[in-house]
Amino acid sequence: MVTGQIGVGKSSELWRFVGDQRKQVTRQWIIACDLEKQEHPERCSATGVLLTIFRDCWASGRNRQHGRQTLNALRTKILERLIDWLKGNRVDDEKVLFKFGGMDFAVYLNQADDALSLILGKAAQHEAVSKPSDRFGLIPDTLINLLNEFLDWLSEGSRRPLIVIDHVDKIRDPEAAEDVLVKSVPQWNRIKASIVMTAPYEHTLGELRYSIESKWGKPLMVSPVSIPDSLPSRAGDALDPIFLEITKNAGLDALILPKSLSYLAYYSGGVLRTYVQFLIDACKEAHLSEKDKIDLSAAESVVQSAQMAYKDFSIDDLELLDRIASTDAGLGEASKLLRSPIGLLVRETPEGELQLRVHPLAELAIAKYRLRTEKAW
Amino acid sequence: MFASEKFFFSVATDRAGVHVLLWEDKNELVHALLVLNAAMQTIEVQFIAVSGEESDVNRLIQVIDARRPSLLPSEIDDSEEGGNPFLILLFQQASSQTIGPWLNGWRNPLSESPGTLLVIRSADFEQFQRNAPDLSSYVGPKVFDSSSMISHFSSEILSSLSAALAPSAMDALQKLPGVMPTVDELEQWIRYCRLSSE
Repeated sequence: MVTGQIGVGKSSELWRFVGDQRKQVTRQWIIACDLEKQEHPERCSATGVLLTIFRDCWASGRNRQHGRQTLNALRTKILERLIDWLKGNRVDDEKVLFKFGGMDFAVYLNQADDALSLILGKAAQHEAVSKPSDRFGLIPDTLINLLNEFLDWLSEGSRRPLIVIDHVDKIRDPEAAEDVLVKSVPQWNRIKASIVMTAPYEHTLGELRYSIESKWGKPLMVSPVSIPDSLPSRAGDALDPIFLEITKNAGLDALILPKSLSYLAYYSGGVLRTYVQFLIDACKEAHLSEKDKIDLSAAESVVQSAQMAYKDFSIDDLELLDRIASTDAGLGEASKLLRSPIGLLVRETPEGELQLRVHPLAELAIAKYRLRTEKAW
Repeated sequence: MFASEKFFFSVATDRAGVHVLLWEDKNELVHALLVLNAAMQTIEVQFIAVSGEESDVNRLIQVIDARRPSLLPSEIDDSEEGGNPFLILLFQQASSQTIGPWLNGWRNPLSESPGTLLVIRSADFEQFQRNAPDLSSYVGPKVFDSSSMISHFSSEILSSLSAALAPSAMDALQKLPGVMPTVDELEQWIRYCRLSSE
């Protein structure tokens, strides 16, 4: 299980891992699943996740020609079982009507590979989006067995496939997250594959933390990149090399002044998505100001825009942020401060301890709050 | 450089992603949308009111369906422009609590080319961010405030500026609190913009 705050690079790390694994000499079939690509993950059920896994496993192997007869026979069995479970209405030998999202959806079995892709995809969407009362419920054991037969066919008796499922952390509804991350673990254990999932960071901190750790082991945490304690006085001071690497890869290393780079890196809080967004906006600033380099004024203007998201922090948020930042404790209560706009940054040290700090973009708001409370005293 | 220039340049050049326009005064919001309409030139713009009402949600579902990738690998469209309209979602007051979590799950289709603009009342912005954290993370620093936009635009925009908005835009704007400026008032404002730029 992989976890971490919004925008720190969980997906990037997962895709890099998938890329590295695919280059390995050891033969292992790797299947990349994306819960966000086709459906709405907010309240996705465990059945929705399983159908997404099935959909992407099928997409990954459907064009393979080796052992095609076995695959065709397996496909027929999967189709039969799905039609039965999803209450498909056979109009004739070729056409089957399903009810997905309250609407009729026709599938033609004469294009059997596509038919299976469509049924799995639409059923996964239905399970993610529809009301709990309209859902199909638990996936039958026979379908899990058929998925396992398919995975066996893919791996040809060598190592079990690796299934990497991204954006499970986007299941924000607490009940749905508990269903997927805790209650359905026996179901995930039945799948004949190694499984990697992302988890919403807040669920690995609060009440669910111990149940998740007991089922999955300690989640691997992707932390924000380290940034200096205060705004660097000299360009490049104690700056993690990844900032320069990203800038170089964007072709901007010759166009940005080192001081601007340090400034944007610091105010990104080490959240790499924010840093990339800052670079893009700084380019626009420089272009509109008719400058040939990203100077400090362009960087400052970008940061000022980003600080707008923090101006409406409530007194409750500021009080909580102040208390946690001063005492280094109470993180379990602070789930909303870990999300947009990120008020609190959490880094895991190599020793496994959590370090907390106020996001540099929120520092102005917290400084004003502290000043007001001191005055009130 | 003016905030208005930055806003229109960002929306028109990104051609993808999610921008936010905050507003407090309805006159200023209508002015900003008129200018945006003129700045978008050839890109079709679609306005949708965002509330908990079923009709609004159904319209949004249709838009999102059109932006989702195909379930069949053979039908995936690799072209940069999928022919979708630029989407402007006007959030009704306090609607983010009901619609925020729903929109949050659709951040990918919303950021598909040519992108989406979320129009949110300033006082509701914090709630929106809390209820749609992943969508907000895609917005990043692309947050603009209609109250800080002065009436200074490029000559290209000024020449195509008109006091008329599409009927769907008028319907969506009518649902927002505050009094709509009349066509006469808008035409007067356009004349003022043209005079002040000379």
